[in-house]
Amino acid sequence: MALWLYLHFPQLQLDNLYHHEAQRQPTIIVAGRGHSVVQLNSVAYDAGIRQGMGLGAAAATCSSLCVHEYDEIQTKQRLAELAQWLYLNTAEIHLSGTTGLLLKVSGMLTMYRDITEYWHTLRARLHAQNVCYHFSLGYSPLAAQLLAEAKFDALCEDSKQLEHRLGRLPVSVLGLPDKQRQSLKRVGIQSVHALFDIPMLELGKRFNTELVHYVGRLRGKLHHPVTFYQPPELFERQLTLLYELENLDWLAKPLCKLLIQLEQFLKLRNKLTKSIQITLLQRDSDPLMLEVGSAEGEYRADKWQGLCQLVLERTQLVAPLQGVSLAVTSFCEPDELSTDLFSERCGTMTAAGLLAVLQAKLGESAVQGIKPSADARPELATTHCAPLTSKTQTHSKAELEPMLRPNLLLPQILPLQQSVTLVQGPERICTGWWDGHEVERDYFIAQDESKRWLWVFRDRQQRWYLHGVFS
Amino acid sequence: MANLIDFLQHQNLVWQGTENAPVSRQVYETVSTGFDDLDKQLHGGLPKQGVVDIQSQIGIGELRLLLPYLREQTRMCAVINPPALINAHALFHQGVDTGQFLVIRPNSPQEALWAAEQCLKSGACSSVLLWHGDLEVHQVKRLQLAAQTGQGLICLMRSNLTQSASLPVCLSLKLLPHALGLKVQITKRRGGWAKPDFVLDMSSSWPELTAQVKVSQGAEVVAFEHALQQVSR
Repeated sequence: MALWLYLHFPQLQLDNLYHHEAQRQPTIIVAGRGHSVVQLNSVAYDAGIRQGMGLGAAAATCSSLCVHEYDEIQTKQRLAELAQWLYLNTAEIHLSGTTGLLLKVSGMLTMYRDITEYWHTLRARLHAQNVCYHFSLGYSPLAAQLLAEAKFDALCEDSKQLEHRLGRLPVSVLGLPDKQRQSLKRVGIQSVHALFDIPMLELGKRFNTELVHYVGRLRGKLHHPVTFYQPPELFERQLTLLYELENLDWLAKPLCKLLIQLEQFLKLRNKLTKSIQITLLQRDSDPLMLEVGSAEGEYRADKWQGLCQLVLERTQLVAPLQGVSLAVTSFCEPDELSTDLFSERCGTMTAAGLLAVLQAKLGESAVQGIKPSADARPELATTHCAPLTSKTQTHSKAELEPMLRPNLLLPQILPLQQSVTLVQGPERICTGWWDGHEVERDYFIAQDESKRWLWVFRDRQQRWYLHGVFS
Repeated sequence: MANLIDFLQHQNLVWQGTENAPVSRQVYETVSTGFDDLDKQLHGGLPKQGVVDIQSQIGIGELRLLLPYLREQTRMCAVINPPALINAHALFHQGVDTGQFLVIRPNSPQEALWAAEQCLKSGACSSVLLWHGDLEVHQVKRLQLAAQTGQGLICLMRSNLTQSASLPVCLSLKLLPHALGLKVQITKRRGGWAKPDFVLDMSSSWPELTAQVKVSQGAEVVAFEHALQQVSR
């Protein structure tokens, strides 16, 4: 039979509070409609406050009381943190409710000399977390839980003794519905021991199957399904440099080390990532955060190295560099590229890869896509968008009457300086009164003396401007 | 074994999935410009990959010359360092898919060249339009190699030329304005002789931008001040 260890944390939220402040003040945590005390510290206990007391009674007992409301989400989060902390020593951890962790010990004993050493390691880990806990071993998850909740607190792996201790527990601590417990008491079953004395078959006849299942699981005769905790996938590594760096070029080697670790991490999980965060830790100043992105997912260290190099070229350090850290929080699945077996692969990159390189070197804003938008004002008829996002338009000639527009538009409208010959026009554009950018212009196609085709307009005040070039 | 395959290949008995020969061994291939006259003069059109030098002042129709070609492309088109904003609205009305366009505004000429090389090398871009001033021979050679790697075409759009040295390009065109469209001077073409100038008639595609219609109907050539009076109603 597998051996289980149950850790019961009766006052997680309270422990979390004390993590920060050292001063001792009577503190209670209240929950429920009646605001009854569920967690209290020793100072509050000395003042006479007991568990289950109402808030009013507690406040009357002690005048300088610090009251917090029970927060289940915070408790759960703390429990998950503890699970992650213990994951370094135990592979199989089950989060049981909001107050307990169930650890499968038998699998881990091959790694340690004996259970004492294992427990010693765990205890040291828990001690670092500064939490109050009760624990017990057990040959079934339920037995371990009941003993831990009853504050057994002894490292005893003798099954006889464990069963004896379990038998002494009253029926009221069992995780059964009230009605069930009542009916057990009515027939004179007061302790778990008395319950175990009844053969299973008899139990099935007298009570319902639910109880039989419960007792079976408690005695380890029936399978108790548990789901094991999986730590969230996250890559975070930090490297402290042996000497301070002043030149970012020299960062390539240390960074490569981290990127290779990332590559191994991703390769093992068959994952790619689209962006990595590099934090440069500078002496006596704020750390510098850099985000390096690749539009197509990538895992290879040399590719990331190339992209990082481009970003680092644009970066300036304020102070010498003492360390560098690399973090990746989001991962993506590799998508299968359906490439033709026969077509010779030309080029070295995909479009998304090219984009990543260009944006890393030139900056995001220097690389853009364009798309037409439905606005009659020529300067608003072109919008800049993220590249490769605008859809391919299906151009139907029947629908649209083709308009003649210049291929190049000046970034700013300029007053017309040279003398021109008007060739065609006018085309009046009068719109935009609704959004404060009103235009009323007569556009002409004109040619200047060097035979360039220009797009000029005249506004309401008869002033002439140059707006585009028919390139 | 290798000898046998070589022998069979010489006999043309081996079918290869990649269109008979690897790309690197293919000869000078051309792709239509979309103008029949120009195709004839260029013996087929623009080179499929390589560097094309286009010398022209801005605004006489140098982009329009390339538009029919760009319309047919399926890969991306990178526009690097354009002299003004590219008007997506205009491209849309001329049937060009603007989704394929990548507008790159580098901060320095060096970055422009770098971006052009990356775009070409990647194979993601079939065409690159680069507005650049003076280019060195070695820079063009580098672009040429990149174009071969990614099988793309790069057009160097150059306006005010100060240098006269010939560059190692596949095709060099000089464009001059003309009433019918453009006067094209082929100054250099790989695998061919220089040709006399000829006039490319664009009046069928862009009737408004060829002067002959209006001139023949007697539109006056007006100076700017006169135009003011004429059009004010």
